[in-house]
Amino acid sequence: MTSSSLLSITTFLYFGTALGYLVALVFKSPKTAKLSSYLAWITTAVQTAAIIIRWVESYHLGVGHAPMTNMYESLIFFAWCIVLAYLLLELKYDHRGLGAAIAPFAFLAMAYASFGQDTGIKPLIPALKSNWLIAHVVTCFLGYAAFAVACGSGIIYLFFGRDDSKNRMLPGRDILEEVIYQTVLVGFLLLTAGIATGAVWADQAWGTYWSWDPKETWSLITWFVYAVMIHARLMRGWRGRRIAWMSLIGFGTVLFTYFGVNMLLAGLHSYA
Amino acid sequence: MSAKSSQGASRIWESLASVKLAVTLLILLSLGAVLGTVVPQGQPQAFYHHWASEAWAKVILTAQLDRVYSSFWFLLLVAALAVNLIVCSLNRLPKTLKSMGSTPTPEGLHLPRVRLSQSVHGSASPEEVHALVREKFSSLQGIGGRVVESGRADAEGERLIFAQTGRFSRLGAYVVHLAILILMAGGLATALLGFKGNVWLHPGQVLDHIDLRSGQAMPLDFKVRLDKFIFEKYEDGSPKLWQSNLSFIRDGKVVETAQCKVNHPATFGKVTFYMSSYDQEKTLDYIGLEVMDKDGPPRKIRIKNKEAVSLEGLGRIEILDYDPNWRGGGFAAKIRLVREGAGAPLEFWVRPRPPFQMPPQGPEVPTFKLTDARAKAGEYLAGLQANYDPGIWFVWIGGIIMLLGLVVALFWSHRRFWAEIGPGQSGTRVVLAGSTQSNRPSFELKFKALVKDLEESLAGLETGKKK
Ligand code: HEM
Repeated sequence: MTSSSLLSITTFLYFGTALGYLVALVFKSPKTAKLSSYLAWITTAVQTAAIIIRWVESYHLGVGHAPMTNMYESLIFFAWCIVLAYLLLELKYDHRGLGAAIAPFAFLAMAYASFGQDTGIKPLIPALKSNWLIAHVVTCFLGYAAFAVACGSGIIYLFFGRDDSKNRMLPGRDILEEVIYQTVLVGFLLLTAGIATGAVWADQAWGTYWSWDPKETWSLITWFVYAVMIHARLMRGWRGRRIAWMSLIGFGTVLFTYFGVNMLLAGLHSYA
Repeated sequence: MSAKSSQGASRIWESLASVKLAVTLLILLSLGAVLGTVVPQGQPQAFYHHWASEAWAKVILTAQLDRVYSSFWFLLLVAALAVNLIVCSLNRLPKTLKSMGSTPTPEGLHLPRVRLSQSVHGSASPEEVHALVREKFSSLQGIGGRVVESGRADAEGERLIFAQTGRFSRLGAYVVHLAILILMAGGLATALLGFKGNVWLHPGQVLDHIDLRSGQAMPLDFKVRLDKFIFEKYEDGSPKLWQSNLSFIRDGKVVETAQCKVNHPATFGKVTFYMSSYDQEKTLDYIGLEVMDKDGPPRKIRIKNKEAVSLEGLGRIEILDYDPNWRGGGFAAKIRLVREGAGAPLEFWVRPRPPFQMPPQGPEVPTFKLTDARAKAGEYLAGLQANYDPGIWFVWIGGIIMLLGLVVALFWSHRRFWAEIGPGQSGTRVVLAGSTQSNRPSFELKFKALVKDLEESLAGLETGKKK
């Protein structure tokens, strides 16, 4: 099997997963939720295999490199990170309703990857030949995935946070808020690491650790937005819906950093 | 100082230390940074008059929106953030250290009035309950802490136990904030103590100075020679490798050689060389032009470089310049037209696509269309960036410290627990109390879990007895 056919299957399965979680939440069906959860694990396994195979394929083509070097590959990795982050959360809290707002992100990332992106395995241009590439991409995307999970939880909070604990698919309001905040903290740490590794890499490649390139600038803005959220909650006692809204705004800046900058602003970051 | 003015001073100090100011500054900095990604940066003034209306161009240039990140107001905001961080830390550090360092003595132990407290009842004897709570508290206890107990029961027969965890985490936020200051200092060091320049080298060329971005030439205390420039492409034509083989020369002798590649800079003395770009010498052979007069068929002509062509009824044309990618819009040639008889010579660019002439010419001039051009490829030039940047050390250190501080601040918090054990209506009563310095909601969950755990264990003690 080729990686691209496995990735098509992955996209399809994520659609099923997302739909399953949605149905489970709307009809309050723990059985459907459990099935969706199994499906999510299976899909992640398939996707992991696809990523590894793509990696191997790149060596057969003689251009061997980790599959994280263009928009297509980064979207796939993003989807993988989101689902993995969510499943870890599910293992910890055992409330499957959150999947309804998070799994769709993974599906959308895969769908966007498979329609409208160049799927070829390309050789690496000199600037991307660096070990820092892996460190930078992995930390950034794990961070983005944590923010996606926080945002999904925020959406759930805004929709269901009023009638606390009527839906047993969802954690209580307090725990939900806690989930949002804790995942934001994890994301913040990873984003910080992502920005730092990016700076070190930029210094080696261009001799400038920070050049106010639009992508760098937007990642800093994202960092500021989450720093505001952390301080607002810690020192100014922001709670509940405000925190949920902040997680949405924060993820909005993440998405702009990821996609908007490429589409609307020009800069050094060729793809992601 | 009068009482009033000292009051005013302390109010200023408090607001400089406030998190409200921090949040405001972060929001303003974000908005400023957004502006810098919307307005093109670092263009010549004339650009903005084209890019925006006259009024907006004026706004952009006065507010320095053409160079946001070095504008006075952006730097002022950064400086304010630094002051905010310093004052805030100075303000809070003594209190933090005090509450961090204090472990209550058995005599000084008392049940504080805190928001989180709950009573648990059990029928087991106070001694049994005491042992149980002690066991629970020992397992709560974090690194460097100590369970403290009041020695004997007081007049009401009550005894207290205290435990705490994660004391050191209080310093995490200070470490993070310190790291931010270090990074800012790094930026300052880069700007004030470092230099950056671009260097173009032909193979074999020796260089003894660097042209700085500021326009000055900076002499080097050594010489650098490009021995070879290697440019490899993949089969699909995309670049695979750019490499400059450099020799560093002192007193006429080569003291070091280096292979400078993208992502593998070469350092000699203070200066680091980065492989940043390349260029290829192109010598123009000829261009082809189509001259479209108002009437009559278009005339095709070919003009060789450095040779003029005379066109009947029009004048003499020669090539002034050629650019394979003029203003990013494809190839173009600059020509001079010396008209027969009247008028000063005209100089303008001609292009293969409309607008064919830049700047546009009047109706008395026929339209020139560039049809083709041939240039002979010459040798490659290596484009190197030459830097000295002491700021990078600050970035390394600041980055590492920040990550360490974040891990500590975000995933630990200083939590304190008290239990008061004494006789109750139906046996023994335990009052559990807890406080935390940060992340209250997750602490509340933890506290609830502790209460539940204790209730279950107490119930366990009873059923164990009944058997
Ligand atoms: C980009 C800038 C900043 C970042 C990334 C940042 C980051 C952090 C972090 C990670 C924490 C610890 C959170 C926790 O304990 O869970 C924190 C706490 C705090 N920050 Fe900041 N901070 C920034 C700017 C500021 C500024 C300018 C102030 C000035 C007032 C400030 C005041 C505080 C205070 C008072 C705390 C709580 C400290 C404590 O728990 O004792 N922060 N900050």
